[in-house]
Amino acid sequence: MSLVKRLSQKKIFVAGFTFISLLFLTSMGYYLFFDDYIPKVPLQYENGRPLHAPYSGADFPPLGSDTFGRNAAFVLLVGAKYTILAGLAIAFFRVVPAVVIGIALHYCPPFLQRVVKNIADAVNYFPITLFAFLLLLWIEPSSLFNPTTGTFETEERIGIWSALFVYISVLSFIFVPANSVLIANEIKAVYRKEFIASSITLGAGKWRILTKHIKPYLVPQVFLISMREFIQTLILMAHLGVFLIFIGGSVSMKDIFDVSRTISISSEWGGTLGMWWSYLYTSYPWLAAYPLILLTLLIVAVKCMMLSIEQVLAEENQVVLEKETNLHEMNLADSRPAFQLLYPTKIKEIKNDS
Amino acid sequence: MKWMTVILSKFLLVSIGLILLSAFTGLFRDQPQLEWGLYIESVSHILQSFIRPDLLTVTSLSGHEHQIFESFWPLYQYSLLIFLPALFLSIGLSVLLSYLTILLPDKIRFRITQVAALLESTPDLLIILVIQATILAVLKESGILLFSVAATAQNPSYVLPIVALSLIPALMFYKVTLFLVNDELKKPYVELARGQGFSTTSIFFSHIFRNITPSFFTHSKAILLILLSSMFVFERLFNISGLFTYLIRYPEPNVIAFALILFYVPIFLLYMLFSVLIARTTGQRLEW
Repeated sequence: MSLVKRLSQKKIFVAGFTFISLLFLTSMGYYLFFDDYIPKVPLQYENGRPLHAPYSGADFPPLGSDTFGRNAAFVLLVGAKYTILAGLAIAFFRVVPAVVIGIALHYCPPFLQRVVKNIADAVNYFPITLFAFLLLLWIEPSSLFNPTTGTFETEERIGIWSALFVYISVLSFIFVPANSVLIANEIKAVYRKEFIASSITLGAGKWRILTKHIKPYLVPQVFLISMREFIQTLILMAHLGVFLIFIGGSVSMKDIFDVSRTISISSEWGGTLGMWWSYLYTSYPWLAAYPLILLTLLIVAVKCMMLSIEQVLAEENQVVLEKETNLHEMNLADSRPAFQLLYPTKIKEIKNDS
Repeated sequence: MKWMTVILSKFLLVSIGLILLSAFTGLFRDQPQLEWGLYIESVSHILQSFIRPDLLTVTSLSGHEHQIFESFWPLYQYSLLIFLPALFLSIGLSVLLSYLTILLPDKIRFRITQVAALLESTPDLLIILVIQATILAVLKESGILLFSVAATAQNPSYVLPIVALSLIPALMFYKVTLFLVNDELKKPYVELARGQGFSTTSIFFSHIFRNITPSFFTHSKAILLILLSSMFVFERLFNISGLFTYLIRYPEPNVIAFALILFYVPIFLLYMLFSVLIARTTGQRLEW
């Protein structure tokens, strides 16, 4: 409560939060009222001569179109909610199981803890993008060359929903072991504090310590970890997008230049980035920049929220420290009066006498 | 001696973890088959091929089996020659930048710390985009190719990928260093040293730097891993044919496990060396 109130007074927190929620709500509203309709840009003319399809932002404000003539701004708007939702879901499934496992891990014997920690450490030396790529490669519809018709035929392996399910579970469960170790370490750090020792001495059981003493420390940490995971997820999604693995699957389509391109069905930003990246090397490189800039803005917004939470927590600690020092001084004051209070009165008495 | 066994067991456990993960990717080769039997078979195949290196083969598109050692070592060397310099460059850059930052007044330093914290999670793709777009724009305007944007087999590019790869980690190291230095500057010994007339430069390099090294070292691991992950994307986008590109082309579980453990070896040695050095000079035994 007070934490939330204090956060609402931080400007950067409010800015980050407003940015993300506005983006999400607009995108969601567009889905509810217009059913994710992506309008085509009508043929543009310059001095009476028609221009060909990838229009720049100057030709057709605000953002122009891609080589299919789709309005780029609306592609990005439609993708916003999928990006945010997928990021949230993956961050959630990375952290929540990890909390449970981390608590369990904390109560394991130390030897087992060490083994688990080091094995989980291996995830860190396996480039995570490579791992996710290898696990998700089969989801991509494979293009098989058909010799009789002389064309590539795409074969759908699984439906959109199961592809989505696989994508989210792969991206989340990779990180559960490492996060569990992290949370076990957090719990260990709290356990070292003095008040835990005193409350064990007073007869508190594990459950009571966990719910009364560990929880208030752990909850803000879990929030911070989830936000960090959200950012990492967005970056990972963008990486996978570069390798043409998109959330919600992809289809192959021919654009107006008759070039076959992989299109993200959901047009989430990682996928949009992936499908537009190759435009960087053409004469319309701005298309590659849009999703990346938006992703960066989203990440910075989350980072703003994280920073302000960290600041508030630090201030809270400061307040607690100050309270403790005040208490300390008060105790000192209580123990002192025998000497301190007597002294001034004596002086007064002497003054009165003279 | 006990310390040595702890470190060696660490290496073994991480290797086991890498083997288990590689075997897991094997289950997803064509259609996911989540069966324990297959998994155990895959793990044992990896272990066997470590004893008999002739089992480490890849099948090319034409269906021929090749020993991986025909092409493995140059790729490995090339990837390491990009990875390690990028790591050192980012650390060097961050230390230099933080030295320059502490020469600034407190208020500005505080602002810079905040900005660095905000910017540290910029996606590495943005850096690649900016670099490639700049080079292409310069090429278009003046016809001068500043760097070769993409490597070719005859002409491997080093400088550009190393610099590009080191920028984001440098920012992360910079942020960590700034936070540690800000904490350190509040401590009484800095005030004492200042009072005795030592310059900020000498305080930074002979005291603060030494005192933050252990914490810096523990924080560095997380950054190293991000560097490793973005290396993978860099190889793709700068068209570097390095180790990871090889692994994508031939995703055999045993080759993956072999390559990643080999890639872990220099990182492990580096960390061991540094932890010994830190233990010698500061007396702190670090867990990593």
